[in-house]
Amino acid sequence: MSEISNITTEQLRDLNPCALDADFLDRLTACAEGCIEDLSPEQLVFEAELLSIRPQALPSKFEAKLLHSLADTPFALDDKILLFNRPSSAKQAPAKPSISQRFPLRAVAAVAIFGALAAFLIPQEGSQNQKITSQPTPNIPSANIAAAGISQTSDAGVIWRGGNQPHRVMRRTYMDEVISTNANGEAIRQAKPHVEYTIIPEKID
Amino acid sequence: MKVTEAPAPVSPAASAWREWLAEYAPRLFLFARNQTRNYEDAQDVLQDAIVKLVEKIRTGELIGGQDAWQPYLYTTIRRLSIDLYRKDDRRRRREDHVSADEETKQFEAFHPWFDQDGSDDETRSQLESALQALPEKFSEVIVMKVWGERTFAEIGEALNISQNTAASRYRYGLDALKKELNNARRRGDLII
Repeated sequence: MSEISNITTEQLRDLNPCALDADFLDRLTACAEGCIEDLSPEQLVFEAELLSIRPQALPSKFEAKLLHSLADTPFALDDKILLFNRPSSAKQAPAKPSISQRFPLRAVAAVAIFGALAAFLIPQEGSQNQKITSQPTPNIPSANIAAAGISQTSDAGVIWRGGNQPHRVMRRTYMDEVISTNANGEAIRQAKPHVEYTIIPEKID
Repeated sequence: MKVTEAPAPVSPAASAWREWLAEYAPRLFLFARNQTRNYEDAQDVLQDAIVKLVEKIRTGELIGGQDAWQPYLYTTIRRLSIDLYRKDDRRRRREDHVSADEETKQFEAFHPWFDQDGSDDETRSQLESALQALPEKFSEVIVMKVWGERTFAEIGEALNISQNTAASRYRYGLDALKKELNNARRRGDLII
């Protein structure tokens, strides 16, 4: 019978786990201190040496094959997409819009259109949606602005903000109705657009 | 009368793709070779990854513009490499095969991982051997960080590990690689 079966709890308690090796302990400490990404001077020198050695270029036949695969694909980057804090050395060109494929945008657009129609059909007088402007223009001595609803919703692309977090930018155009009176006391109705942007955290695969 | 044929016009898109490939494809191919450890498999994997990228661009599924291309390609190359060897257990067969097959070794020697500029043949060859000798989980991080110029966050996402783990593996891998190259230098295999 093996001796291990006769071992007592006390004896087990007397056993100590092996100490961590120094390198591993260093890395754990760096993690705990939040500086795991900082390299030592020796490591930086070695990294620079590695960087000076460049990967082999593609074999010409293989490169031609890849170019053939890309022949019908526009080199594209949506010009609506704004890339902040993400410098890229390669050229940037427009990509195809993908709005039609994103169901939530369609739903938002549908709600927006419905809201706009409702705003036009429902009488506005006495409504709490009406706002009075405090800055009348010379030709418009006084004006009432009624928020008539969203007239257009569009996807303005993705931006990268701090922390490498992508955000989708939604552009909403509202068409307000401005009712004003001129110097002769005549009522004048004008449509006045205003734009709002909404930034939503985005998950990128 | 001598008639000269004008060169076929190259579309702006083709020219841009060529430029993009010249800049990034060698790094991606290096990563594919690191993942597959086989020249032909690496070509297949990279080409499939590019085709998948093209599909994503065409259907508009890939958001984030051009900055999203490389993270997508690294992730896809890794997935495809794993799939390739899961499918028919070629990895095991390849490892058995490679260890015994001089022809394959010679073929790989004629298709080095690194460019001739900037270093001598011995350095390149030793670096390649040292990278291959490193456990893949370290070498893949080094390849992505040094030559792929990816951030630890991107590496973590591509390899499905945390950013801290990626950074830790990088540090460990750099030290191990340096040790291996120093050993080669002591043995006289490397003159730098």
